[in-house]
Amino acid sequence: MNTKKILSAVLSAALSMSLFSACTGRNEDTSQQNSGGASSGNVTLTVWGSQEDQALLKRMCEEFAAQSTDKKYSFVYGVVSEADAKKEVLKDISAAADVFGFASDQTAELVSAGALYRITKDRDKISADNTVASVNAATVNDELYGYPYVSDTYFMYYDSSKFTEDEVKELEKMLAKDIEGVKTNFAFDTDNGWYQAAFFFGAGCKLFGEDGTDPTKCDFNSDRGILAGEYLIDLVKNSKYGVNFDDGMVKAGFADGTLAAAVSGTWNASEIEASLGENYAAAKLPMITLPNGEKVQMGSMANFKIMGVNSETKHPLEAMALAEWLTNYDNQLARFNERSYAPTNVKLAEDENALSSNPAVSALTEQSQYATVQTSIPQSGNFWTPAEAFGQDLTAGIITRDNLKEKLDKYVESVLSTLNG
Amino acid sequence: MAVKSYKASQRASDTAVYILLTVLGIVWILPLLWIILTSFRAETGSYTNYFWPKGYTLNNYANLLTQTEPFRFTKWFANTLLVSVISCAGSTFFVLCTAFVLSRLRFRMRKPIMNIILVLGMFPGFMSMIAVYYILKGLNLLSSPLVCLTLVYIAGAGLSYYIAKGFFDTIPRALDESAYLDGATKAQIFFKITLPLSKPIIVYTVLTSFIAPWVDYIFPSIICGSDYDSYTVALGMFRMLEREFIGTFYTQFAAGAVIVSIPIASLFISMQKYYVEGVTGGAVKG
Repeated sequence: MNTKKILSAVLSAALSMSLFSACTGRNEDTSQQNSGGASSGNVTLTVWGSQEDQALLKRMCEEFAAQSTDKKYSFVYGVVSEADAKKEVLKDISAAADVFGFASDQTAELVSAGALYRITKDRDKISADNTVASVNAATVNDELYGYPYVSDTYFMYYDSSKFTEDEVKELEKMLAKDIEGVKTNFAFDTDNGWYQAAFFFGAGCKLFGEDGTDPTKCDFNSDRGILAGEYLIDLVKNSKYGVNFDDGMVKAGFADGTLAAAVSGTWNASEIEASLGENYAAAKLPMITLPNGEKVQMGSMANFKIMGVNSETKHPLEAMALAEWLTNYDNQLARFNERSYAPTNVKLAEDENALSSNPAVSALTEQSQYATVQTSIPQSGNFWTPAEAFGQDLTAGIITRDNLKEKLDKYVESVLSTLNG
Repeated sequence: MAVKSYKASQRASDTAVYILLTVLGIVWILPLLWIILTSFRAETGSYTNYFWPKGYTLNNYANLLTQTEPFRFTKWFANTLLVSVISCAGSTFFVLCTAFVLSRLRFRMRKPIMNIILVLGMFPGFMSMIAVYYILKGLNLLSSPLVCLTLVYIAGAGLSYYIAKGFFDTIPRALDESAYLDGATKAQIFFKITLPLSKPIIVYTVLTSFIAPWVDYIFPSIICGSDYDSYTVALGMFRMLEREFIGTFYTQFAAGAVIVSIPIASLFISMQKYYVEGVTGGAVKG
C-alpha cells in the first residue's frame, strides 16, 4: 500500500510491450463496453444504474430488446448510482457505459469533458414530453445532452394526527401549536445548503442569476436576503424548531413520536410511512411570514436524473433509442409505481389521479413548481461550504440582527470567489 | 502540617493514574461496544437517541450473510479474503527478500537504491492511482479487478523493507560467514539461516501486509468501478451507507463491521507476542 512507483515503472514497460502485441480477446461478459459484434444485427450495450434499480433496469432493457425487430440486443449491466456517475464516467470515458443515468448537477461538467453524446434524434419530442425545467437541466448552450426521467426535490412529511391539512400550510401556525409528547414541531437541516436555500429562494433571492448559470451573481445579501436571514435568526431560537435534523434524526423522531413534521426527500418515504402508519402524510413546504409581514412560499432546490449516452459509444443510434425507451412514459410510470420516483414526463406529472396514490410523490410534484433547479455550473461547488458555515453560525447564535448584513456579504463573497484554473 | 508518608503519596498517585486510565479505557472501548450493540439491535435506523438497544436479534447477521440482493456480503468477504491472503504472501516474500539483499549483500547501487526508495516512500501511494488504472487498462486486466488489486498490493511491497532490514542487521554476520565456509549459497543462507532466526519480523510483516489490502478503500474504488461481483468488503459496505440504504441496512452494516474485524483481531491476538518483538527488534538498528 505504501508506494506504487516501482509498480508504475514495471507495468509501464509491460504496457508499452502490450501496445505492440495485438489485443487479445476480451471476455464478452465482463469487458467494459463496445464488444458488440461487427455485423449490424447484434448490438451489445453497457448500461449503468444504481443498485436499488437494477432489477427494474434489467426488465426495461429486456422489454426494449423484445420490441426491437431489426436487431438483436444484449446488455451488460453495471452498478453505478446517478450520484457517482460523473466520477466513474470521467475516470475513463471509453470504459464507461453506453447509457448511464446521472444527476442533473453533473450536466455541465460532463458536457465540458465531452462525455455526453449530443441528442439529435427525436429532440423535439423529448422536449415536449418532459417538463421545461427538466429539459433545461439537460441542456447546455441550446444543445440537448440527455433524457430526463426523475424529478427530485425535498418536501414536508408530517404526522396527520398532530397537524391538520390546514395547519401545515403555514410554518407559524405549525410552530405555535402545543402538541402533547412532541418536542419538535418542525425539523429542518439548517446547516445543509441544499435545504437552507429554501428560505432564501422563498424570499425571492437567486443563486447565480435568473437562470442559475451566471457565476458572478448571487443576491443572498440583498434586502430580500436580509429578510430571510432575520427570519432564520428568530426561527433557530424557537425551541419547537428542530435546527439540525439529519436523515437519521428525522427517522428516529418520527419513530418515537417526538417529531411532528420534517423536511426530507422520497428516499426516506418508506421508513417514515412505516413509523407513522395511517397518520403518514406529506405536503409541499409551508408558507412563511417574513419579518416585514409578507407571506411567501418556501422554495426548494430541485434536481433531476438524466439518462445520458456516452460520447464514445460504438452504437450511438441504438444507445439513443435505448435511453429514450428507458425514459418514456411507460417506464417513468413503472419507476413511479415500483420505486416511487417522481416523473418528469408532463403527461404523468399532471396526472393527479395517478400520483395521489403516493403522498410523497404528489407532495414532491406540488413543491417542484416552487423549486429552483440546482445549477450545474462549476461555480456551484463554491456554494455548499459557505452555506454550511452560515448555518452553523446561525445555530450557534453568532449571527445577530446587528451583524447579519456583514455575515451575508461574507457568505456571498465566498460563493462568488473566483475558481482558479 | 502533617507529613505524608511515602506510602500514602504513592497510593494517591496510583489512584489518580488508575482513574485516568479507566476513563481513557472507557473512551476507547465505548465506540466498539456501541458498534457491537448496534449489530445486534432489533430496531432498524441509523440514529437512535438511546444507547442500549430495545431488542436484540441475530437477524442482522443472518440477513447479511444470506442475502444476495442488494448486497452480496459473503461474496465480497470471500473476494477480500482471497486478495488479502495472496497479496499478503506475495508482499511478505518481497519485503523479506528486499530487506535481506539490502542488509547482507554489498553492491554498487545499494546506497542509491536505498535513497531512491526513501524518496519514493515520501509520496502517498494513492497519488499514482489514476496512472495505475491506465496501466492496468493498457494491460487489458481491468476485466478481472481482483487480479489487478492483488498486483497493486504486491507490486509496491518491497518499498517497506525498513523494519525487516533493521532486524536482519542484528543477526550476526558470523553466522552467514560460517555457512559460506561450509559451501552454502546465498539463497540457502536466506532460507535456512536468516528466516528461521527472524520469526518475529516475519510475523510483523505478515500482519502489516495482510491488513493493508484488508482495509483498503481507495484502490478498490478506482479499480472495481461498476463490477459489482468483484467488490471488496470495504467498497461494498460503503454502499450500504448511501442515503437510499442507510435506514434499512445500518444495523447490517454494523454486523458487517464486526465480522470484518474478526480475522484481523484473531490474527493480532494469536501473533501479539511476536508483533511487539518484531517492532522493537527491528528498531534497534535502523
